[in-house]
Amino acid sequence: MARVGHAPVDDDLHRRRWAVLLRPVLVLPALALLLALVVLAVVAAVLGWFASLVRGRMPLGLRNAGAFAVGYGGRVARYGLLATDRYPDSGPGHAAAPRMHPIAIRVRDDLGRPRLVVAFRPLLAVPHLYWLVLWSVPALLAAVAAWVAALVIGRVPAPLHRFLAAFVRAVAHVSAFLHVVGRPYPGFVGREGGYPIDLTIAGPARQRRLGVLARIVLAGPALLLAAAYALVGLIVALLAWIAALVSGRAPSGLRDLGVSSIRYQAQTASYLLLLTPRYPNSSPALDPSGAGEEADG
Amino acid sequence: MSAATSRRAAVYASLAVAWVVAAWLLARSVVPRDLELPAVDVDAVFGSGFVARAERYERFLYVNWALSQVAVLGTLAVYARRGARLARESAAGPIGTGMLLGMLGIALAWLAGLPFSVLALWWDRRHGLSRVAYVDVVLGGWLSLAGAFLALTLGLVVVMCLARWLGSWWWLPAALALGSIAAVLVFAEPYLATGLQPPSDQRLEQSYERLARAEGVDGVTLRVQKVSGDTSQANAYAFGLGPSRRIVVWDTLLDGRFADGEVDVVLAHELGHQASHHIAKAIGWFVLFALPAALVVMLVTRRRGGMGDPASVPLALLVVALLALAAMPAQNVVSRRMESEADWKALETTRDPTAARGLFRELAVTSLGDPSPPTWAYVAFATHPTLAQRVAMADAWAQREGR
Repeated sequence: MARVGHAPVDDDLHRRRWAVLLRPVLVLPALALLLALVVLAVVAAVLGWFASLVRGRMPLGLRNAGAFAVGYGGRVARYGLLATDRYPDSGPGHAAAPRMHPIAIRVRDDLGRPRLVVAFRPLLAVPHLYWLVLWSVPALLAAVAAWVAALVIGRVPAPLHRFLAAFVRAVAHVSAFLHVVGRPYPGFVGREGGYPIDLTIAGPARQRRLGVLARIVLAGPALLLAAAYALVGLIVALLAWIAALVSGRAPSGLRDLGVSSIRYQAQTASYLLLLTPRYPNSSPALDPSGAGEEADG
Repeated sequence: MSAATSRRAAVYASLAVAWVVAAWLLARSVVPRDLELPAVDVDAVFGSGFVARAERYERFLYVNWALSQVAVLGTLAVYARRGARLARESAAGPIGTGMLLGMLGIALAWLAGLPFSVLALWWDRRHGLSRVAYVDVVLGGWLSLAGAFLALTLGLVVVMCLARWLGSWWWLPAALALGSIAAVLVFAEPYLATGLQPPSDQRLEQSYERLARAEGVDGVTLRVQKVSGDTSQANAYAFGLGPSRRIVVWDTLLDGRFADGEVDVVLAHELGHQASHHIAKAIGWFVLFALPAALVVMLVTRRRGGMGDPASVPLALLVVALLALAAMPAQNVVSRRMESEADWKALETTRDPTAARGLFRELAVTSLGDPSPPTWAYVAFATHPTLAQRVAMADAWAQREGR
């Protein structure tokens, strides 16, 4: 790829006429996704501003979130302005993990999506959604019990940890199905290894009591970013649903971005529910092996 | 005969006796047994031109319905053969996989019936009976599948858990459990319904209270449903159970086309349903129909491993669809009996057969209903007595009362 100034450009000047004719329409999905990523980048920037003021250092994950949105914006602009014929890749890419996060996501997915299961996917998830609402009641009670226990003994008892981990995992599985990120119909019990888009959740670790006491307050910024990631996930789901309905496959870029969104939300939930003392990793980049995730919030 | 076979035969015989007794108790009605309906000259009462138009209108719907049944049953038949393959799209264990296969079957049946729903809407719009947009049939139908999926999965969880636990005897408790689920859903339905408003017409409220007192009905709320944006047809219905009981009238019944006395007959009819506990009885009938249906499903799915195996679910869907079709005439008999009883109670309460005749004539006009459909259509589709029979009942009541 050549460069004009600092901007990378395609050497290939050949353009497919039908793609050029339809470009104003074809660029719309990418623009919708860009809009969601801009929201993500703005939230990351605001949080990064505070963090930089306090620590004198921009958190790596927040920097990467903003950089990814800017990079995607550039790809969309190049495509929209006919600088390239290549559709913008929405994949968040991979980055080596300096430190493994205790809440990691594994992807074992072939991208195939049978149209019948795609067409009715939001409705097929309805029983799961009702089930998760029911499950959330004991999960909330368990979280309160875990909070009290962690304040007293400095860690979450293993049975409570297992119960809450299964809940977070079940939510991730259903979320992956609903967002067309995962292929099969998920189970109801959040079993580890039970879904191609799966969370590995490390066992209970010691937690500082002050951090436990203030967990809800500390989780505030992560919840803000999780909301932005949820918006990204929603757009990903809509676009992937349409793409899979047409082609019978989920685009890999969208799938990976969906995985990032689910992972961040799962890490936030895990932090809030005291499954880990580690702050969520806000970078959208995935671990190259799928066995662990980039750390440093 | 082995001891096990004898025990089985004894259980079946006891159940058959219990079934007949329960059916007899549920079928009791206040309509006099010796009531003879006088002949009604349909052309004279409804007008020959109208009758011919109504027959033409309904003929199309009969054909459309028959074709839709062929399409739906054909689709389910193919699904029964090949649907089990979709189990590989599930990571949800046997019961979750059964739920997925059940929902996909319902979704395919809906897709197969969709063109016919659109055709029926086109026909209704052509006759000025509906103003519903085509997109509402497609999108609204798609969204309404969520409710069907939820009810189906609830039923499948019960059936599959019982089948895995009890083996070939699952059908017996399953019918009772499904009846309980139906009761819960019927109870909850009024609380989930949207768009129901308290009546703004004081006369309507006063009439309702007077009629409710006369029928000995207490604690049943009256609501008005705004449907005039979608249809010109008039209707009313009773639903709910115990404290959730409601009577709902469409606003199209209150737009001036029906006289006050005619509206009173409708209110008295719906109160008659509540006074006679028809909704609770309908749940009882559901259990009675579910018992043999579940037995047939058990027998048919045995060769595929029984209902505990998700691979049986597509076949079970086909069997249930066929049984539902076969049971339609019997269910219509039950429904017509309840409707006749509600009509009779309305006549006894309002003591106004002239208003009842006027109501049935006007209902025919507003819904383009054939007052006297062919016998086969009556047997297959009629959940209510024909409009001619309803006029005849008003005449019979007047004769008995010497009016």
